Amino acid sequence: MEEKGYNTFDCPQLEVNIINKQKFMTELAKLLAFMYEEDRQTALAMYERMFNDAADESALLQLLGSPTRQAVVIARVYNTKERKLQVESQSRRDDEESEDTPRFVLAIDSIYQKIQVKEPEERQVADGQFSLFGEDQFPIKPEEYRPFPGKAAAEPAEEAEVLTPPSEPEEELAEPKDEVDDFIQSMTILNSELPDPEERRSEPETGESEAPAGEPERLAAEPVKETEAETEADPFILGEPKAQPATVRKARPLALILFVILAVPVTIVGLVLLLIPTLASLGLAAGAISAGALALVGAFSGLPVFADILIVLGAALVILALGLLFLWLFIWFIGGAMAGLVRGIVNLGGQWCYKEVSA
Amino acid sequence: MKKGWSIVITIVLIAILLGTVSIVVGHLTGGSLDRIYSVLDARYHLTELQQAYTQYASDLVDTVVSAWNAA
Repeated sequence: MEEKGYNTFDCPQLEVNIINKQKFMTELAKLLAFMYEEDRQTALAMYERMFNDAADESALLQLLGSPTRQAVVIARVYNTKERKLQVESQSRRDDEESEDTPRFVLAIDSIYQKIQVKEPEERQVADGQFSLFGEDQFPIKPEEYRPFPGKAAAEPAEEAEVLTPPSEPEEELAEPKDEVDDFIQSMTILNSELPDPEERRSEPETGESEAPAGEPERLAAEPVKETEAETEADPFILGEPKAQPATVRKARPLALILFVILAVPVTIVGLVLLLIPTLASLGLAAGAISAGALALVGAFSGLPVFADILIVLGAALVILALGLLFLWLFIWFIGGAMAGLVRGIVNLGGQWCYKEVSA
Repeated sequence: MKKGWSIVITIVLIAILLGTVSIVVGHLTGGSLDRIYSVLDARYHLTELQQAYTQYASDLVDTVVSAWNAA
């Protein structure tokens, strides 16, 4: 098996690690489909670098847990709208060298810091062993990943406190029994169920309100503020139009008089025309239901042969069914056709005879 | 209204299907329309009712025609 230019046939353990790493990365890439493509590539490159820096990939995999767990950790700090605003604001003031590190980068970085704290000594290769990983192995192009920011590396504790709940124990990664695991257990996230980023743009912001109780107040408070800002910046994202100026409906007297003169006789004629099938339906329904009831009674009143009873019962059922159909037609003519005719003419009058004027 | 239509159509189709099956089974097992008519006629006097309605309709038509001619 060839992986990035070197052979692992003589090292079964390494092959297993690479397969697990590949599975992990593939699954993680699928689960991060909700992110923008650039952010997704950045996150994947950071995890790739994490694997490259790790001395023991199986230990790293054990520390990271499942890809779903990592996706949940990222999803809790990733907000598509917020990220879009952040990128837009960065592009506007790129000359000021404002480096707003995305939250998900900080989250991954905090994971990386914790892992580094947990196994600093395990990265040493024992004297009796040799390492297949050189310093220049797995070269990654600079544009393929966003390096762990110096600011975040310099102040990992401060940022990590903001990004992770304070109640989270330090052994979160070692013992994956925490609220993330509870969330994973309670919510089955399928890849097909992950929303498309384009769809997420048009959805109203509700996800942040479902943040767990342990989330810092900053995370819970920010989306409200930024949603308001975003409404002003780009109302199309929320799918809600801006507040329209107040308008008043003003009647056009001439058009109104003409419409009433024309609409009243037209409505009466229409109602009379509809009354004919309505009454016919009522008559047919009454006749059919009466005949069906008579046939039903007649079937059990003196017919000596069971076959004859069956025939009369069948005929009664068919006649009663037709009676029910005619009865429903009568109701539909009254409640649907006639009421719809009147409602339609009134709406037409509202459109033709009134105009909206700004107050 | 659409829901009402779907419910009514479903009930009507089921009733017509059951009625048709019942009629077919009745015929296959020896049912006779003449025997049914004779029994119901004996009970509800269908022939006499039919004659009475026919006579009434004929009289009504004659009355209308004579009134039209008189006018």
